[in-house]
Amino acid sequence: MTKEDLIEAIKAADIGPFREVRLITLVHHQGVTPTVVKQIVAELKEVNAHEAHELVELRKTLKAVEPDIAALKEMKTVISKVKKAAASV
Amino acid sequence: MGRETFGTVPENAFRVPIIREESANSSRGNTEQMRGPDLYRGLTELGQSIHSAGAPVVERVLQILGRERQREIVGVGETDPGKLDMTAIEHLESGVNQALEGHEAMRVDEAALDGRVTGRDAIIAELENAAND
Repeated sequence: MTKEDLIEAIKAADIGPFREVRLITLVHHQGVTPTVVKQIVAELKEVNAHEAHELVELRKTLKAVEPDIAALKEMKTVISKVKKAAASV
Repeated sequence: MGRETFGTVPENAFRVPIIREESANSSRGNTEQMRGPDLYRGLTELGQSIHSAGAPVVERVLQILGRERQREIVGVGETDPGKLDMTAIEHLESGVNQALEGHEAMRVDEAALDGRVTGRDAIIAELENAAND
């Protein structure tokens, strides 16, 4: 793996600007060594674990509000009917 | 993040005089427009809709329209719809729209998060393979 490949991989991982700059700087300074790759993988895993947890929580929330959303959509339809009726009186 | 978007519904979204002081026969404001059997049916339906939406909507999504307020709206919508103010209904509609937009934003966040996590997994696997070669 070349230095450029590794830098592209860091950029593609979308890990946030500060971490991205820090890891790219690390690659520029130390090159593609096993230690550097190991550190990058560890950080990507850390970010991914965090976001995977966020995703799980978000999906739980979405599941929990499903009935609310159905009710809100129904309410929206009714409000629309009320407004039409009010305009036509 | 998107899942907190519901929190952006303005606190005053429902803090409007839902119920007018005047009776249905008052000529003030838009109460004249509130008459007619279609409107009565519509408001009754609104009352029932709010009633059937129940606590989950209030507690988890809107959180602003209190139960007492709901009861008032349901009661007035069913018995004397002329007392309901269209401005208030429009505020209610605005709040509902904002909650639905918030939900849509959560869906967008979900797709974005899912894409990032999946893409990153692939990159991690590639790096690990390269490191082992």
